Amino acid sequence: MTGTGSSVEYSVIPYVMLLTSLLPGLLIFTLREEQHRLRIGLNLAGALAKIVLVVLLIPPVVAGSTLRASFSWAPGLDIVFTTDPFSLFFVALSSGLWLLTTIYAIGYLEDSPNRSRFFGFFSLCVTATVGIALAGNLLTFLIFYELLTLATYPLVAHRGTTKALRGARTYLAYTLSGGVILLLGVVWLTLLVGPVEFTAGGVDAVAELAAERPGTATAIGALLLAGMGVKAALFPLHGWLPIAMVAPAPVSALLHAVAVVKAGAFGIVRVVHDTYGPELSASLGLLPALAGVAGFTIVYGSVRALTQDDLKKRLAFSTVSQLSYVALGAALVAPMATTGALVHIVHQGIMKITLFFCAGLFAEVLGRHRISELDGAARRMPLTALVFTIAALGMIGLPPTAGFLSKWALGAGALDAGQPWVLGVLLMSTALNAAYFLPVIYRIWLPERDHAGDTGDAAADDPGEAIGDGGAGATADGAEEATGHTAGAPDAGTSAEGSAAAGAPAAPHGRTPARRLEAPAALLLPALVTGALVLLLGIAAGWDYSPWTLARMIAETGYGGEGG
Amino acid sequence: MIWILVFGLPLTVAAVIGACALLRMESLAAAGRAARLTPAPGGPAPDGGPAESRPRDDGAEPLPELLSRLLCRFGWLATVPAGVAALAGPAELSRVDWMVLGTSVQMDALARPLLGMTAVLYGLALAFIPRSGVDRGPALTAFLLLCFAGNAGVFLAADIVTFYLSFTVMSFTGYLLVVHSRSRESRRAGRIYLVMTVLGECAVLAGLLLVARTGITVLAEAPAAVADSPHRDAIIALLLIGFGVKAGTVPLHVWLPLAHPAAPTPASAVLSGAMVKAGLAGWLRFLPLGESEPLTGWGTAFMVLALAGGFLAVPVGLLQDNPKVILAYSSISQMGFLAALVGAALAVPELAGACIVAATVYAVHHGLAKGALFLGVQAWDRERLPRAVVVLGLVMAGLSVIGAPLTGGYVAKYGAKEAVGDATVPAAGGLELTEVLPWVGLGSTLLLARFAVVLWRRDRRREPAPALRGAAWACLALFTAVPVALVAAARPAFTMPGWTDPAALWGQSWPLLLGALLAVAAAALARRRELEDNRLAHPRGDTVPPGDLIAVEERAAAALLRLLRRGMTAARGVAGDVRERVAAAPSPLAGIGRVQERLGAWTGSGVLLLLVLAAAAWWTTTRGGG
Repeated sequence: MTGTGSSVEYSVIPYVMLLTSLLPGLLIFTLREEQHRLRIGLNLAGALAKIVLVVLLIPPVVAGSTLRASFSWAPGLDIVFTTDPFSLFFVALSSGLWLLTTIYAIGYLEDSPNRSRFFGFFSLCVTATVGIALAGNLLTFLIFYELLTLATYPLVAHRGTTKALRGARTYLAYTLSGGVILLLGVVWLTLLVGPVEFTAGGVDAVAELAAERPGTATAIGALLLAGMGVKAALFPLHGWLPIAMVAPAPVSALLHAVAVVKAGAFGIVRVVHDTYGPELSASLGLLPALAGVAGFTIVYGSVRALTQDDLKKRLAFSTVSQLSYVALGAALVAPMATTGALVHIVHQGIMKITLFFCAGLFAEVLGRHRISELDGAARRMPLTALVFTIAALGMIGLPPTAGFLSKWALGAGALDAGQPWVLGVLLMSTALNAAYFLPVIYRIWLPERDHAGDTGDAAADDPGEAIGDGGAGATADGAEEATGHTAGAPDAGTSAEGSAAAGAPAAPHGRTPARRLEAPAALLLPALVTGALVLLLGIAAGWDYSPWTLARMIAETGYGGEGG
Repeated sequence: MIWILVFGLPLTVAAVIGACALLRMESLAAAGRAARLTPAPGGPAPDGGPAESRPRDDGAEPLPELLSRLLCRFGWLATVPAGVAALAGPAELSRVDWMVLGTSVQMDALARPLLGMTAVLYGLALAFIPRSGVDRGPALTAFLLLCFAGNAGVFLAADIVTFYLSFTVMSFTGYLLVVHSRSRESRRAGRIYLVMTVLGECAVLAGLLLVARTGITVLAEAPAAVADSPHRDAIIALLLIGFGVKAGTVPLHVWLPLAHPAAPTPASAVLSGAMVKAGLAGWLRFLPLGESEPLTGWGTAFMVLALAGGFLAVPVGLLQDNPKVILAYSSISQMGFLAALVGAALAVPELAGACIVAATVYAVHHGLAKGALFLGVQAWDRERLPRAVVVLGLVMAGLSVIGAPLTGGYVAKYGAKEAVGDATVPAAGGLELTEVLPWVGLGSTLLLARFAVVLWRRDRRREPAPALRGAAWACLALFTAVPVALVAAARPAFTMPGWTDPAALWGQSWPLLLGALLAVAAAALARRRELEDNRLAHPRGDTVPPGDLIAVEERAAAALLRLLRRGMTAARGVAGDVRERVAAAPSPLAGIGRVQERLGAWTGSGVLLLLVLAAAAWWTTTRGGG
């Protein structure tokens, strides 16, 4: 590591961090289905242990000390784990959101079959993500990258329906091909320059290679980026993401916010900044190409999102678009843009996981999956609606949410890097994000039309039995679609049936007939926490250990080495 | 720290009201669920309105409702700290580094009067909410307070990000004000407001990022930095658009005549009085006024758009029959007057100092007078005030907007005319701006005459209302001249008119007299029998619908969307075709199978192996080995 005043210590901590999720995962596989207490205990213990470790590690790592663990797998093939600031940044995100997603998943899958299998792979998935984060060289990265693909497949296919299996197969086809391309790149590069250890600002051996054989270096870089681009859902490699929506909500949340897509985005940053170095990749022509693709993906994903009526699908295309913010930021040679890319890894994760939590809540509690069915959902689930609103406004990038910081940093960085066209892309994306999120928010908060159709006129006569914020000020607005998807008793019936069939907690088994909360606490609380974080991370951006501050620090060390 | 109170109090009150509403919604939702889970034997459980909106049977008011009712009643008190700060707040910079990207506020010569005006206006508007027949009063109170925090922040912000933060908070909570009544019109107005706001936000963000690119963060340095920026013209263009949306500059004004009337009256008052001034503040803060060489082109652009708004709003406004729509058009016209000052400052840098001061005074004057007029609509419709007082208040406020002698407008308009000096409008053949501006006063006279006619025809239905707020409204309407004169007198760069100077008096009176004459003539004309069915003589607001250009723009947008959708369907069709063709293409597996069959025999594979080995041997020998 190049940073000044940094120290490298050999330590087993990286192994311990991996084991905190690997061991519970392996143990959970051996559990019987009904041992749910033990399973929950193992899950939570692992997640909490990892978070404690991360929290303990942050201050020393920020102060400049790096922990390192390595062993030789075969001669010349070293497995290396390090906790440089960027790894820890990603580990902190994934372990924090893992805990919340685990809680959510416990609530979501209550009483459904195959939970041991699910949580086992869930833990493996997080292990792989943490492995990716801690990987100190390309080989280690590659191994965990592939492991992540394999560990996620059973999660996507979890429901076992035809649709789920098809989605999972598409997912596997895309990501395995991506893995092969990445493998090719890694092998080629390792063959030419030996083991590649990530170094802030770029690896010297790679720079030498690029000086001698720029064509080869460019080809290898393109392979690496293309391999990462599959998971990062860059156009035209994004096809799997919307199809993988068939997965259960917690898996979607994990896929879209933490594990898979972020592994791709993280990998892109690793390749550009810690393998090639930003200046070198720019001079090789990798960055302009990446920026072009990312810019196009941002607009493309947003435009596709506009036309989706399925809430999860709209969110999926939004992910395609938002992830490319990270790629775009990484592709601009300016510390501010890099900051934007890094901080968006966290911010997008928290905002998107909130949105998926909420989508899952709407689906589970109200049985509504489509945006056109969401009219008046706020009335039934005000907290969920509030949190959804905050996260969606964050996606648009409005201050003071976390999303604003990313957008501001990317915009300022684009100007610093002399690429004003990026500003145009960002603004177009802002407008498009507004165009596909604001109508959803509007619908959610719409006063529900009670018994649409038959009492449409009566509502006009009695418009203002106003109650608090969710008054029944329904107007006879015949022009707007009278879908009949209002929450009458029939709807509640289907909702109850649907969830009973899924064995989900909303089922009125007499367990919690008159809850105090709008939804089971295990589902609601994670969403509330992440929703609050969307605001907090934006408002308290200047705090010493906020993602924003850390991202700035990491971005600047990357350029500091170059004397920039 | 007074700022904690200035911003914290409104935000806290809004948050508490929000929390109360959430609590109530949670309990309602739970009650609804309980009712559903144990359906009545007779049929499906009653859901939605009837069952849930009925007050509880136990009689006692739940605490959250009591709390939010009280907060609604006394919400206006939350603006008091801002008023105090405007009077006696410290002028030094206050920073909170950990907040967002470093938040800072500072009271300066621009912020102080505008903050004072805003505090008065919001305070009075908040006082007009309880017991006024407004639906969901507590919610409106909360939204207004959020909006207030944003609006005050726009004036007080001392750095770029704080400015943008406040501007955005204000703009988006403005939407909640517009759609508050949930009527069909308000939803349409809200939709248009939101589209325009998002577009404006984008332009503002791009402009501010370009400003930030110059390396400055402090607002005070912005004009000089913009003047030296290589992107100067882009910044000016973006800010003209971005802030123009807010300030109702033609042709970006279309949301204004729809949104201002659609909001509940107290909200209309602040939308039209205080919020449009945020656009002006943006111009004054960021444009390179007085810092660069004469920007004749931009100055002309501002002046032409400004005067277009100033004059074209008049005929369109005269054709309306809703008093609030007429007032909204009057606002467009008046904001045109203000934008003309900005244009003059851009075109003639030497005038910039005087123009900024004049614009500040004018903004205070217009904010107070227009707020009084909007609230006057409610005062007329349902306040307990005697008719004479209401009429007198409305007349005084109206005269002030026109700029008649002895009113606040007299001071503001006279000062503005002095400030623009000999600035000319090149596009109008070098016409002097001072020659043109009085005619805006004529337009105002006509608009307000129309307003008076329309309002007079509305029935008064006096309802019990707090007496204090009526008195406060009357004070504001009758005495706008006092604060305006005080603000003006405190500024050496401002030319005060002599209160008895005949030239100034005549200069300010003739537009009023001419306008009154025209209005009387028009009224006499309209009485004639042959004009009874004439739409122009008796406008019903449908000749030119409120929002004028919006009808055309909506149609254009719809056409564009249709085109886009068709294009996307076509694109999807092409993609589907390709996919189908790929799927229909003969599978390579069969071919591979055949090849494998041939090679399957030992002779085939043996030959292949030999060939590969030979090729490898050839490659190693010719390339010099590995």
